[in-house]
Amino acid sequence: MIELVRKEDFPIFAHSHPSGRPLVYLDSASTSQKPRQVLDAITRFYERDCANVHRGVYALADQSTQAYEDARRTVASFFGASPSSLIFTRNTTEALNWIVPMWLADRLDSTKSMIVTEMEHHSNFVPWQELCRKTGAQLKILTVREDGTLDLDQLEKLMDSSVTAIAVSQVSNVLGTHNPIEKIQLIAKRFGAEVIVDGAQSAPHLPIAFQKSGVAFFAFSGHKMLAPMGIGGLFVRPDILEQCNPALFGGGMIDQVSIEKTTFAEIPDKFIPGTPDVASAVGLAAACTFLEQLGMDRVRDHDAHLVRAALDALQSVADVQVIGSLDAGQRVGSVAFLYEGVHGHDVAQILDSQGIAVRSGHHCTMPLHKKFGWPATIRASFSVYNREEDVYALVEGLSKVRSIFRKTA
Amino acid sequence: MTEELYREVLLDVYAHPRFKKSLPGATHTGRAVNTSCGDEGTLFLKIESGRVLDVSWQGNGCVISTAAMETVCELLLNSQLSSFQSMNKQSLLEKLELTSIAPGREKCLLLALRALDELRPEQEEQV
Repeated sequence: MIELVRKEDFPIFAHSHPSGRPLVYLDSASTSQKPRQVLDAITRFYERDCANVHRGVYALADQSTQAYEDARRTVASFFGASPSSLIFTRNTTEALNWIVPMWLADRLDSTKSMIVTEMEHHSNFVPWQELCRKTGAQLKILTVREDGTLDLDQLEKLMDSSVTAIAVSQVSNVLGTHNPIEKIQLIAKRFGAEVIVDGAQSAPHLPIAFQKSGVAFFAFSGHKMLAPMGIGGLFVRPDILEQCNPALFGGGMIDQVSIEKTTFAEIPDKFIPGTPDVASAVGLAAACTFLEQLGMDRVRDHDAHLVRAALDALQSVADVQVIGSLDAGQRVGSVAFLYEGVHGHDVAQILDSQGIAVRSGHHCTMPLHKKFGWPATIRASFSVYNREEDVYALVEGLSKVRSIFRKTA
Repeated sequence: MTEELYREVLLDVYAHPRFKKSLPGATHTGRAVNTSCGDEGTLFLKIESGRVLDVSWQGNGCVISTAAMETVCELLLNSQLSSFQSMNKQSLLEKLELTSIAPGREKCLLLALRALDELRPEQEEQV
């Protein structure tokens, strides 16, 4: 397998793991490691360009504003969107939550409904559940099939003129399922509904063409795609953005303020309340540039290769049951599994003692875990710095789980 | 910590928990859940005149939460109600012969103590 990146570009791998072994990081679906290029961009901003944006008339304020606007253009271009359709947020969770006061709350009442799937991360489930509870709208559930995929025939049956929006992840954070957003958008359009896409797990691995997709909203987190923690975004289709209300009020987002009333700034400024995290936006742009230089087609192929290798390798391990589709072509980014007779936390800790970082638990998808009766699953997830040898290290690491727990069997 | 934790004796407790069973006639129950782990445990106690005559637990969890549940049950059996207060994280660690617990696993250890905190009289006879 050809190496996609130089591991030296990611400083974390130069530091020793407490186990004394090299770090095998298989938790990028939680958060990715950051390349030197991103860290340098953030440092450079603070060392050379730091001033508040959109406020000063001095040179440094211009540099800062320029850096922020350049970052917006770079990030938007990476996602195939116009710069004005991007609202920077802290992460996917915040991006999805913003949709409620900006747009959705005014469009739901007891005569309306919205659809979410059973596989959603709590971030793409609880905001809608809460909103439906408050407005009296019906929350319809699109179920997950045994093979971890969505049933679009069932979606057709759930659709009617009451459906205002469909909230769905492009890639599931547990099942790895790559959902057919294009088909879902076509179905939604026929019924006059809008689609809200949770792109947290797709943005790090797949080329995204937001404008072309036609969906109303696309939310993502920077920190899962090599950027710093604390920056992400919400893309909003321009005609929807025209209908949106500001969600937070105060500095930066206003046009005129008087004692009697306030008018708001133009798009997108009216959605930027207060001083934004400019350094992180710059870091996110650097991450987009890094990925762009690798080529998102190559990033996607690299991930597909690792997913296939992990599926093949894990299926050959006794006592391991892979969850979700066994067809690598249906999956992106991760492979989760159960280890018979051993709790996920024990598996994760024994792997950690060998320098292997995986995630165990319900991964913020309690409805999905409940449906399938999984108390906790173990997930190995990938990014550009992972190599096939990491998959083999995982399989080798699992043999220690077997030797420890089989002693007592 | 891993070697200390996955000792034969704790693995044996995990594989063959003595107190993991139903307790007909329980007078008190307490339940705790670690949602992020998917762990849950319920303690069942039969208390008469301030003394624990019998004890059991049910639920599922990892090696640590299972071992802690078993230890709490062992300490409770034949004890006085007043002795409950002396049970804490440190006493559990000592009993389990663990020198420390990683921050990420502390809640596994504390599941049993939280279940004990939730102990309430049963409204109806436990089956």
